[in-house]
Amino acid sequence: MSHLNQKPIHMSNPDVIGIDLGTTHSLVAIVENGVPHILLSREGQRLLPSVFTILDGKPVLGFAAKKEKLRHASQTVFSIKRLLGKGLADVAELQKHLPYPVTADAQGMIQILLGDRYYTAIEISALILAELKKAAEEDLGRPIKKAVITVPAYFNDAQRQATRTAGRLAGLEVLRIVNEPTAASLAYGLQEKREGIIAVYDLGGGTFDLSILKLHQGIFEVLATHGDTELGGDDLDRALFKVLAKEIQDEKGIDVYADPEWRARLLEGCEAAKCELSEDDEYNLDLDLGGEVHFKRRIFKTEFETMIRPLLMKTKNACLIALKDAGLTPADITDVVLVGGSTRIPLVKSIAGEIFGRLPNVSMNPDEVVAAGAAIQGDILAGGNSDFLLLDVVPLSLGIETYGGLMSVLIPRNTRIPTSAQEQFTTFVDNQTGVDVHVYQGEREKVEENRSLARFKLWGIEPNPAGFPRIEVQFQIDADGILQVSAKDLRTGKEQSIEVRPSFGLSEDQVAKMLDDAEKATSSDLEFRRWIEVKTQAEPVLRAAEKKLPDAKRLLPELEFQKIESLCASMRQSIVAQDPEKTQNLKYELNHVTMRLAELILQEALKKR
Amino acid sequence: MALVSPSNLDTTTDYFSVFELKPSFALDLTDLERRFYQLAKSLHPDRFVNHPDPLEKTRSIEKMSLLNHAYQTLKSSSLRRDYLLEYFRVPQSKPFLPADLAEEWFDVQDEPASPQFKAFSKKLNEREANLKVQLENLEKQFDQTGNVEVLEKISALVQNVAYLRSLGRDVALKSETHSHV
Repeated sequence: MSHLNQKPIHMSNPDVIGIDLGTTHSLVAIVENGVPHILLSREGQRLLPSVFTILDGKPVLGFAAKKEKLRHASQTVFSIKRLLGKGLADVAELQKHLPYPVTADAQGMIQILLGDRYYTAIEISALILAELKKAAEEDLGRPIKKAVITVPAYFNDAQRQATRTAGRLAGLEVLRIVNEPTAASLAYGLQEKREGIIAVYDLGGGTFDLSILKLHQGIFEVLATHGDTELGGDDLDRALFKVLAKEIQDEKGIDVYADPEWRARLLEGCEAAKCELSEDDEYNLDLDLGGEVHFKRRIFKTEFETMIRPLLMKTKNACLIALKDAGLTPADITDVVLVGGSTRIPLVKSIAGEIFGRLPNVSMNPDEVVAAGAAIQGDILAGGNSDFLLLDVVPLSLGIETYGGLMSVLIPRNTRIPTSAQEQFTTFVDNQTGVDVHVYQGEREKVEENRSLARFKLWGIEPNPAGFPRIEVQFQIDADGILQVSAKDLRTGKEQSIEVRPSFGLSEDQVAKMLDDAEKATSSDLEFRRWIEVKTQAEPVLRAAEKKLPDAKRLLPELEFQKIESLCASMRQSIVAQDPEKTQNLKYELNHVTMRLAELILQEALKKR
Repeated sequence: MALVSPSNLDTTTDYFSVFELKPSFALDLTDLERRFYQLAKSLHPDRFVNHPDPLEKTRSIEKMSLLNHAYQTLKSSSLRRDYLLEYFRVPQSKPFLPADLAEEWFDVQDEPASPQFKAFSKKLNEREANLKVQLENLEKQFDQTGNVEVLEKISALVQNVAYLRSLGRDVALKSETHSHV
């Protein structure tokens, strides 16, 4: 047995930001002196709407972009998180409601045409993350490089990888991907200082998570998690949308699905109704459909609740499964913590209370608790908090396709992470040199009903009779809940070559190219900035020298005069050519040669007095 | 409680040694959890994010994976039993159905409504409960004496309990199907 002396090393680096990359809005936070703070966006707000558009050829994010949701409906992207790590087939239903054009490339990867180019969901997420990074840098007044980013607990491997890639594209070193309800539990633990078994009920804009955690002496141990990545506030808006769209069709003969702007207007009206009905018993919708056509409708709270109740009852099932997986009953839960903007809806509160048989805890700000928790995890990773530790689980079973298209589970759901599993593979025909392995995530028996994560090809196997090679594949799930695969030829002991092809996501080559492009873009930005600086310093020098040319001709020897004259001419040329080096050098030279001239002019002026 | 040192832990360490525990069937679960938490606090990859040596980061993932596997296994009494038998390389015996039960099942299996069927079902449950008591006693005996020969008896009993349980499931299924007809 080897005796490894492994001691953790903590370096004091407080600058790890926590980012809640949300469906409807995103936040960034940091821990200072042990306390998490929400950092302000560059619009001076605590929330950054997760909305992106192109205005006059320039990318715009946040409230400024959200304002364009109606005017530039087909060019304004929101709810991008629902498209992240997915293929076009996964979002067919959602696609009908989105006012912006969602298409796919040849590989089935989702892309959105904005202006003159296609954007992937990863790129748009990266733009939001980059905006949050800039916001944090401006608020704190120092550069930020590291971040913890949260994802719904029920996000699969592809969605987690896509989030991590987006972080990298935004120029961040993503130290950890943390589950949203787990992050929320950290903020709860820090604020409430209570121990016990808590249920975190997290209903956000687009996803639902339920995590059961045991809080004990600084350990936050996830016992079980379950959820639905297709259920959130957006779906509640759309439940109302569907009803009203039909009424508009019947009453006005207008098909709102036919026009992105009408869709955007109705969606906005539905969202407003939902928010109002959390406070009031009724809401008067007045929808301007253009050309003097108005659709007026009074919506009652009771009526809205009837529409959304079936959707919300789906959360009950997830809660019961999580309880069962944790081996607990509702009576074992000591506190129910509500997270996510949608838990402001009174019916959501009452359903969460019903499931667990107790009044939910509403002491936390449901919009901010996840970002605060992400910042706390950032502080833990930076070594600033060694009292807390998160122990999380993998939300979905991981397995491989086996004979007959069946799923062979290697790592069951709710296994503590990091974890690993090994599986041996061999060949089926003589002299076969490659073996295909198809990895899936999900709970169904048939692989086709689960999510395809990746295909692995074991290649370069030495030719041998069928069944002779023994290749061991190691599946490792890291603390981010992300899969890594390695393979070894057991007969030779050699590392086996493996080719990984993510089913929906960017390949390592694509990511590398994007990072390269981004770097080039950044360096060209930097070059431009340097040029502006040089030019603004050089131009006054040139102007002053040119103004003094008549004096120079009068006061200086011909040779010196010609020197100044030619320097001025060269500098004018180098400014036109936008050459910072040459301009800079000419500026110094011109400064130098005109120094004697300035003295002479001064002396002459003094003599004249 | 002894201070558990994570330094001499590698992927070949057995699950009991991970927690510095003596191999045994009975286990104090509260103590196990305490040891798990304590080890996790020093081994978890979160503690190695800033470590300058990437190898140490990888090792921390491997060690934490081992710790998680070990905890998962020792927490459950049945997984712990399987692990102990595997750990001491106890040869697996074939399940053995007592001749009297086999004969009786053959007679009653097609008549789920008969009183004999019900009597058989009851007998089966009693037999299983009886075997479990025997199992517990043998496990105690092993924990006290460390006598490896006891393990073979345990292994045989485990197989028989498993066999009776699967027969019990068949019986339950038969009577259920019957009552629905």
